[in-house]
Amino acid sequence: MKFAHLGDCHLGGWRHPELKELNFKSFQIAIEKCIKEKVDFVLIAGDLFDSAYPPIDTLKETFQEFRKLKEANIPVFLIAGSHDYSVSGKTFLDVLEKAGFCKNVAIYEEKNGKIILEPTIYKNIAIYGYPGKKSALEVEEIERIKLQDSPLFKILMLHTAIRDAVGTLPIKAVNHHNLPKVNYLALSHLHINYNKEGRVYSGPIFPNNLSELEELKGGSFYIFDNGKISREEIKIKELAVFNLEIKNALTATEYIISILEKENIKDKIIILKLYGILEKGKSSDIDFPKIESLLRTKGIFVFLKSTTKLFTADSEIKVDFLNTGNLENEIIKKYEENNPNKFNDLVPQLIRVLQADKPEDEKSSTFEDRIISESRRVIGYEN
Amino acid sequence: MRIKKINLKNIRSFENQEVEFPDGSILLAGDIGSGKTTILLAIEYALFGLQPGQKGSSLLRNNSDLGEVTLELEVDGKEIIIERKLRRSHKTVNNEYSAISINGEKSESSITELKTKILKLLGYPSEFIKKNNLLYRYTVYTPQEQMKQIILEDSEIRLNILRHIFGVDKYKNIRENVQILLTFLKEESKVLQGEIRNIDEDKSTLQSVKAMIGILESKIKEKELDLFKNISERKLIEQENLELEGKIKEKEKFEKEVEKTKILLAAKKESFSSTSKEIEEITRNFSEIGAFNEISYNEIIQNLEKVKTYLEKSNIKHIELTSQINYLKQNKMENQTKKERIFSIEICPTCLQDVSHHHKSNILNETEKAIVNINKNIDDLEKEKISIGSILEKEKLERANLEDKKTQYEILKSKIQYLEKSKLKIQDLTKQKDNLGKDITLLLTHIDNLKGQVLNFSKFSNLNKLKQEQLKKAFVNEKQSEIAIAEFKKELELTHKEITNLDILINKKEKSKDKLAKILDLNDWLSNQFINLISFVEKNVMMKLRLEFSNLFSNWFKMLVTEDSLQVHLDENFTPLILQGETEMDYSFLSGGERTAVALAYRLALNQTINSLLSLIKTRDIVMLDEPTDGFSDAQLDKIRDVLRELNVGQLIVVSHEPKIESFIDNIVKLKKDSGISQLDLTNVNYQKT
Repeated sequence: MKFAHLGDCHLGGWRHPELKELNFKSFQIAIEKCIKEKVDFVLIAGDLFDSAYPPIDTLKETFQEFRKLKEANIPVFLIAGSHDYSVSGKTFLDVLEKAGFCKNVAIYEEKNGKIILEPTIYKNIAIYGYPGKKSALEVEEIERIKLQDSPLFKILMLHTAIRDAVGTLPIKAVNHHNLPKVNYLALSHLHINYNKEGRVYSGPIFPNNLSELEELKGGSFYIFDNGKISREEIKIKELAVFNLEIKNALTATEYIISILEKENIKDKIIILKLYGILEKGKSSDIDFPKIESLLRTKGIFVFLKSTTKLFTADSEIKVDFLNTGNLENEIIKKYEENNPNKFNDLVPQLIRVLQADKPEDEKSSTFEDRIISESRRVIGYEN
Repeated sequence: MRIKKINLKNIRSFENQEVEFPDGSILLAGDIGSGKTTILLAIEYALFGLQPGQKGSSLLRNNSDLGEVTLELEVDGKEIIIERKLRRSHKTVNNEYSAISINGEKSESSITELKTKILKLLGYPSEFIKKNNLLYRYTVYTPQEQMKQIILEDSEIRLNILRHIFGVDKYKNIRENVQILLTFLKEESKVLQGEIRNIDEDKSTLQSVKAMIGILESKIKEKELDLFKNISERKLIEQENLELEGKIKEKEKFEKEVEKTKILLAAKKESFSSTSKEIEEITRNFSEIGAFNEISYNEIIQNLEKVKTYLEKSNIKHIELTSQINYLKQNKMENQTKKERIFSIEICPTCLQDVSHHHKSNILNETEKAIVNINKNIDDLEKEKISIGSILEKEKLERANLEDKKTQYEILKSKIQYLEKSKLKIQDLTKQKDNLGKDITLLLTHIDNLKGQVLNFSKFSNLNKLKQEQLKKAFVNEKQSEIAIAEFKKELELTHKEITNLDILINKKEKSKDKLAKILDLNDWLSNQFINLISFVEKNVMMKLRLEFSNLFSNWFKMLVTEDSLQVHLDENFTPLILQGETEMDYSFLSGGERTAVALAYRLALNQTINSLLSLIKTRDIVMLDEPTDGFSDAQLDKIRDVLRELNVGQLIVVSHEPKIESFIDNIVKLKKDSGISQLDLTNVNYQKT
């Protein structure tokens, strides 16, 4: 018996066209591998698609891959994940299933507070499944799972987190001890490399976000070959990650370019992560289009950037925004508290006088005279 | 603000349609092109007129010349009706008429007046009068095609627009205008620095000038003493001179007397000599004139009478002769004429018979004889006349002679009479002459006496000359003293004036110094602290706004998309940043529905931010959404329900062709287009849903 365990494909998830393409290509590689390895069937443990309604292009390409499996007589068993799950039950997985390309094995009924899973029997194997849901809603439900017993080789497909895998992280997770005993627990949802006592997280087919790209470098799935569980890595692009501390946004563009230029970045996924506290300028002062176009000339594959760890040095003043009428006054008050000056009293009136906009029909000299004479009144410097 | 009703006449696809807006949310439903958006455009047009760049022809129905929008609304309990008309003339479409009625009081207004009134009613800041009505566009109604444009706009342009509608651009104005003030203060400080220059020198000058006063005063006293001395000296000399002048006058009197006497003497001498001459003359005449003979004189007179008588007789005789001669000459002439006439005659003029030669000769002979007689008589008479003429001449000569003699006798006679009188005169003259001689002697003596006197007095003249010199000198001294005093006094006055001026100057400079200190202080504060403060305020206001805006934006977006991994927030330029996880993503990578979600979320967040910032605007409780679900998936459409509930505005007007929206909204106004004309579709409409 030989089967492949995939999950977290998140097809259509990446918005960057290049990464979307890599993501799909990884899926293609996995499918090719399955066909080449002549697996008996394929499991997809949730999140085949990144959403319940993937874009048409994604659907088109996905259907094509499923068709390849179909033509190779490799059936696909799957469940919905937290992304392609839909409360209404309407998901595109249904379309795939109705087209005969796969079988959704999440078949269950609630009984006496228990959720009884019915197996899908294929050859000598009983495959059970329960879908992932949004906001870890499935965790509590999974803990109530019971299998309709079968003497066959039992596979349970879940799209959830198990306590053993997440450790002490404060997220909802299923205690695996409470799970029904099966021969192979095909998990996905956690994008990790985990294979323990027949409990296996497939890992994503392709890293799903920046940190995964950095951490996992590539995607993975598993092949179960007569008790032997092996991890198949899918690594199709080199990665170059630049973690740069930026203090001056005004000079950052040149600084970043000077660093990137030194590296061999051809055909690589470039990840630029900026962090630090900006003492000068603001993050929008960094000319990313310029950097990107330079990188493009160097033949990079794709450029990803993250500035979420880049902060401006301004210490925020705590002013109640709801009371916006006083926003300005409050800020002025704060400033004046820190900068006492005998002229501070003039501030409101000076602001009132100096905020004037030169009307289009007024001569500059007239406007200036007016500003001067009104300001003089305010500063008590009259003729 | 609440929109109550709108009436469109010949506006885009509408011919004449009234649309009422019931309370609660309203959906303008209908197929694409049924005129839904037109209603929103018409509301905007009614409120604000044609926007810059908006053509009247984009509103006026094709082939119509006059279009009209009447909008009824309620603002703060006031019933407002706005009317605007558009007219096509030639190729352009212009505003034809605009009027507003507030609580039934209608007034026709110019476009600007109307805009001013409406902005006031809506509580919009007055700076929007002249500008594109961004506030309304960003808070109430953004045309469908503009929603995404805001997102894709160049960040600088968008930031400027936002700064403007947030009212943050006033800080830019402040920074610019403070430069005007600073330049002014700089110029002022330059002027003041110029003014207070040399103040210390002025002070020391004042000290030395004050010291000058004492010196001048003592000098004046000294000079006044001098003057007093000089005056008394001069007066003394004058007194002496006065006495001397008396003497001199006396001397002059004598001298004049001498002169007068001399003249008198000369006159006397003259008279004496003329008298002597006269006496001589008269005496000589006596010897020259002879004696007068009375008998000779009478003889002459008698002779003269005789001659005169002869002369008269001769004269008469002469005249008679002359007339006789003339008569004869006349006679002679007549005979000669007769002779010539007879000689030529042929026929007798009396009897008319031929005159015989004989007869003629007889007559001629007789005439010839007469002429010869006459000639003889004339000759005789001429001879007599000549002799009478010579006698006449002689007698005339004698008469003239006698008359001469007579005249001479008469002259002599009168001379002798005159001499008789002269004898008496000589006596008088002689007596006179004697007297004159005596006078002359007397006068000569008198002159001698006077000359003696003059000599006596001439020493005083010399003395006087000397004294005059002294006086002149005394005057010069006096004058000099006076001038010196005047000069010193003038100097003293000037010095006092200088002190006053210096006092004023120093005072003024001290004031300027204070002013300068204040200005420099202020200048320093304005160019550092104040500008920092403004930047600080601007930065913080912007930061606050952005954070608030960003949060709202992010929340609305979350509500509008199904995908958890997508997040949005705003960068410093209010540019939406789209994150997938922590990776920034291009807007173009989003699906159509997600793009609409970004735009709608941005729009709603902006609306909320502005409304909370400008809490006085009356449009804060009204929102119009034009096709807000363009490209939305079914799941996204479901989310719109939450969004609309969350919006919580007084009046919500949604334009959508999406049937699903109908179930989320209180009232549905369905539109349809029949043969090119938009109208309400009253079929199968649950008009006021409950």
